Amino acid sequence: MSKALGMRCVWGLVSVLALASVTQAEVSTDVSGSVLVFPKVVYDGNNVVDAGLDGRDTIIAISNTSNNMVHAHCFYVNGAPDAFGNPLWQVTDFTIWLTKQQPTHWVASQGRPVNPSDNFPSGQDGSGIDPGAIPPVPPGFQGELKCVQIDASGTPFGGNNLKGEGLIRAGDGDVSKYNAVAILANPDLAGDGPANELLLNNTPINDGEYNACPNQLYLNHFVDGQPSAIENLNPEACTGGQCPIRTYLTLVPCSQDFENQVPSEVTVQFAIVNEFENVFSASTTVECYETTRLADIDAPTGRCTLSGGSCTTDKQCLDGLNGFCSKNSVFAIGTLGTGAAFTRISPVALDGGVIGIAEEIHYNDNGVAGRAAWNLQQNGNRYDATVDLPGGPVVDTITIPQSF
Amino acid sequence: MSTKMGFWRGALAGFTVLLTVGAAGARTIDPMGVTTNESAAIVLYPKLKVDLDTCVAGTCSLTGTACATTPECQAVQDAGVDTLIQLTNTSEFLTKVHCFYTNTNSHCSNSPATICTDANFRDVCPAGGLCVPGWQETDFRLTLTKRQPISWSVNEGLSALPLASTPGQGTPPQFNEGNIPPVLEVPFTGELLCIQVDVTTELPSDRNDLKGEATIVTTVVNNVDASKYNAIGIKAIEGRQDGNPNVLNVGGPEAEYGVFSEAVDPARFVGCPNVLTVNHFFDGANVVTHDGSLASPVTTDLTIVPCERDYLTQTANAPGATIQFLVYNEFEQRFSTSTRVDCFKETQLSDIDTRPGQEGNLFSIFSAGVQGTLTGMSRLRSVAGPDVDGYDARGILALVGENWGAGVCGEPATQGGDPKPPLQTQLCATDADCGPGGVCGNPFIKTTAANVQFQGSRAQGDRISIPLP
Repeated sequence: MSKALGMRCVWGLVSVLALASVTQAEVSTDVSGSVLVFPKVVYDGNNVVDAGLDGRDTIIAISNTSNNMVHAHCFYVNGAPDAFGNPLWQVTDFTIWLTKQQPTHWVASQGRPVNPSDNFPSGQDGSGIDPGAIPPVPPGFQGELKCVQIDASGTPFGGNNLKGEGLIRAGDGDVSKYNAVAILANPDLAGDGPANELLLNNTPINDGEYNACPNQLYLNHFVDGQPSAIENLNPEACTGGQCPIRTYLTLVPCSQDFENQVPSEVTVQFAIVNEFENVFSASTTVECYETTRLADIDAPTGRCTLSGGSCTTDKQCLDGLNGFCSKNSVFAIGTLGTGAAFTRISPVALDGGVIGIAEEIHYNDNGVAGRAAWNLQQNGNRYDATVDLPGGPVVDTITIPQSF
Repeated sequence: MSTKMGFWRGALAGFTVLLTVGAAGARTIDPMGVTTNESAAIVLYPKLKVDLDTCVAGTCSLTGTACATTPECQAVQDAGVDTLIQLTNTSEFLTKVHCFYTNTNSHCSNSPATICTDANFRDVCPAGGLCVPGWQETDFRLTLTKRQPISWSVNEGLSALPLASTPGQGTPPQFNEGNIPPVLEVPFTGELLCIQVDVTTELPSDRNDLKGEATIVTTVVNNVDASKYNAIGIKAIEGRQDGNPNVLNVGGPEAEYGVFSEAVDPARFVGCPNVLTVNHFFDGANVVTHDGSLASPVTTDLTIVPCERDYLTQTANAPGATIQFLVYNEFEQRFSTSTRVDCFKETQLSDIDTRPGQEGNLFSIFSAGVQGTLTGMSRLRSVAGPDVDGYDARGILALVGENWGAGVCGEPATQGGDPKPPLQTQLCATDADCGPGGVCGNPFIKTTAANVQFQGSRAQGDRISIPLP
């Protein structure tokens, strides 16, 4: 090859690489990605009376943000406890197709069939181009939804074209909403062999397939038991200061093995700082799926605030008109002593990363709840943080079933 | 080799390279300088609300009872809306923050003490009055010790910070300085912007240590609602602070805030996003959940604020910005509309292309009846101003909120034909949601708040002007 041609090759390669390259080394709720994680999907039952007025269901919304057709392979992971209290880790998968810029939605309890007749008359639930046959989840489902962008052949594809939201709705009409967490792909390397193994190892110091999971999650929260603003706005609904705020945390491991059906386990440490700069700590293990009241992490039992009887949940006390279940936890107001706290959530040693959301509940003294969900913030990435550790770096991996 | 043959061989080689590297249709990722996922130097809370139940046109704003004056509504303290701010210093260093409340209440032109909106000014303003938008700023400063979180109520402020007189745990011991005033006008609609500054000089800092959230809590008699969102962060670029500290350049050629992007050609600094993408339900969609047993109508609100603001001359985005909307439904059909944002805009989607208020909303392109599907995706793009030294991008940031009916219609609907038909409970916000003759029992609205997503960046930047100490 002549020198002139060689230089043209180099120029072409450099210019193309300059254009088709850099991804941000993070998972994100700000931009579209190639893997969408909905950390909290719940369905408590179809009869709101039987399930209690707080029986909940989840609406999933996903959009294709590109001008090309997009395919996604989605996985429901049911982490509800079995008879022994262990997560079921039952996986159901399906495929969706979205045309250019197409939004779609479905309800977890109902799924979404392919039914052209629901377009007439228009405006029905189900009107629109059906993205594919989406199964409903069973009553009692608690878990996550993970959608991986694929190409027409089923091979993971790093298009970064998916965005989504999850909305959790209670039987009394209360709603809370969060953005799905998007894992961005490196378009140059996503889908590299083996194609069914998605390596989350793309960072500022390493060219990988998909962006690495966060090294730390940051959670600003009100301490467990802090009286809600209801105390000042509506004192009659907060008799005796009985209008607590509760915070629930949902965590799922970044690594998933859907091929061998092996649940992942991550131990996380909590470093809690109150407004007086005092530091406290706790830890828990996330096996497949974890959703917990913060105070339950280190204090499984407590006392009803009015009767003093033992309890594990607020519902037990509320049902008996005995107030709320107060716990002697490192996350509680009795320990922290201030209204707000800042908690850093870190996986230990060489464990993989976690993704999560939080949900806050404001109660009045009758147990009427207002819920609000929000996304956690992050710091660093798991790969870079462990690259110098013996046995490191940690590479979270999502293994999807091979095509056959 | 002839020049012509050499040219075609070069083209073939380049094409081959392109196929090799780009055959998968790889999409260039375009990083931007705003984030809700990480700590930042500037945090913006676009939507703050305070209302202690106000008499508006003869009706209490929260309880809905008849009234002549606001004290009548507030005589029984059984309703209110407040916003709880959370702000944290995520670093191990003492941090100073300069914050700006902005009151965006509109007032009657012929009765400056009367708060009005575009929908109700004919009812609340004296005859002939117009509703004039407001943008009134109040600033305050405070310090945060290492990793310290604080929270406060927008209605009450925080007169004494937690470590004002007691030192923190660090060595040397650190104290809080400053206080947080309550907002000056209630009811209050507005925003809060906090900028990280140097502890000693109080000039803008290039560290990214702040994170924040806002929770809007509503209580009306026995009803409770809460919605929460992450503050929008604007990241500082280390080492880029220039000799003009009262002008903060977000993106653009002289960027001090944002990120440097090598993913665009040519590589450049980027700041506020080019396009915002919003997934939402169309207004009036009646959403069925719980396996068909529960239904509720929903509407969607957008709060849009400009990236550019001038706290020196007390203006925001003075020329205003035109926002173009592309709206896609689940049939992949595309609609478009536009609106203007001068300094702050909070609007129901259906009011964007119709007159403010309920009249005409059924004919809006954001109406479920017009769109024919329940959900859609909207893309928002502000039209940039003339390129003034690489600035005047007129970028925007936004927050999306949903309003779900939570009252219960009088009689549950039953479905015949099935020996055990499921009952469907229809939730409601007003009697109209229950059909002809229907009555909405215990009408209430439950809300959500969520951050919108970003796409793309601009070569032009935006500027934030602040007063110096």
